[in-house]
Formats: sequence, structure tokens, C-alpha cells
Amino acid sequence: MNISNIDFNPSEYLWIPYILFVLVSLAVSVALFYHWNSYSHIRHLRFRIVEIIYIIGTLILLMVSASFFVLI
Amino acid sequence: MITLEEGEKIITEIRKHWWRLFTWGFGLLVLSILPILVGIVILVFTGVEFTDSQIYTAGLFYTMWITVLWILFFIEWTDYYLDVWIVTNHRIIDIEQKGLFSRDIATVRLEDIHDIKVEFSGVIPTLFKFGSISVQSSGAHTEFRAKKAKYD
Repeated sequence: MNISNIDFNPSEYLWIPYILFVLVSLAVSVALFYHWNSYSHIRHLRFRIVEIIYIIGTLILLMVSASFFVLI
Repeated sequence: MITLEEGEKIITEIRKHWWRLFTWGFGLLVLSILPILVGIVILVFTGVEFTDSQIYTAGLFYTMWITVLWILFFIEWTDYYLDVWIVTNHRIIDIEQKGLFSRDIATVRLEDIHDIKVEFSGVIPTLFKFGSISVQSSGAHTEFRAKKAKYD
């Protein structure tokens, strides 16, 4: 079975939800950093490590999703 | 934001045990693998052939799904890490983080504590050393309770 003949170009419809998704992801990240920074006196080294892991992981995921979006 | 009094020093911090975070993380891991299993089932049992564009679209949705799970894990981690009892030489500060935008902070001075109760039950709590701690006080906030708190 081949479904390639369906006349549908996803990139025409996906850019609005994709941009919204990126904006919401960034907004939640800002909210997370606000909370993490509001407890400066109980922050430990592992807090910093988790922050770095979160930043790197989120950036990688957003870049991979952007790559897929461009490829579509 | 917590402001310590003059001469007040933090003695210890009591948090929930990592077991809670582990079960949450494991659940998210299962959810992250689920779309791959569904994809494999579709490919194997239906024999559908996909175009490059369709594969990239699936990749985009899957990456978005993983990003959502990734962020959810860190929201839970924030809840786990900021849900804490700070025990100082003057008082116990109970910070209860409820999601990202709600926080409940209560304090009890050490001289107001009437009773402390520690209880743990079950195989996993016994193995990993976590249980409930309750502190009875004479103040307006009469009982503090930390569930699944780690103990040594």
C-alpha cells in the first residue's frame, strides 16, 4: 500500500502550532529558571548540573525538531 | 524566597526520597518509547510505505513529544527539589511547591514543637529508607507532614 499520492503538504499547516510549541517550551523554561533562581540559598552543585543538563537537552531537542520542520 | 533570621543557620534539608522521582521518570521513559512501538507495529503489520515528507513529519511530532516529556520531568524535578523542609537552629520551614505557580510556606519554631512522629511501612520504603514525618505544634499550622521523606 502506498499513501504517497495523498495531496497534503504538512509544512503549510504545521508552522503555526510548531511556533506556538517552541514559544510555550521557552516560556516554561523561563518559569523553571525563575523558580530555580528564587532559592539561591539552598542551591547546590547538583542544582547547577541539572540546569546545564536541562539547557543542553532542551536546545538539542529544539534543534532536532527544527531540523525535521525544515526537512518537511 | 526565604529570609533567615540573624544568627540562624541551616542544619539540614529534608526532601522526598528519590524513589518518587525515579517512578515518575520511568513512567515518562515508557511514554517516550510508546510512539516508536506504535510505529514499528504499523510498519510491520500494515506494510504501509511512507514518503520522506511523512517520515520527517513523524520525526517532528516525535521530537515535540520527547520535548514535552523532557520538560515535564524537569517540572517534576523542580517540585521534588523545592518541596523541602529546611531545619534551622531556630525553626522548621516547610516549603510545599505545587506545580510551577503555587507555593505554600509555613514555619514552626522549635520551642513550639510538641511531638514528632516518624512512620514507614511497606517493602520499598523499608529497603530505600523513606517514610512520613509529622510534627505537631501549638501554632496555627498545627501539623506539618512530610510524606516519603528520606531518612538515614
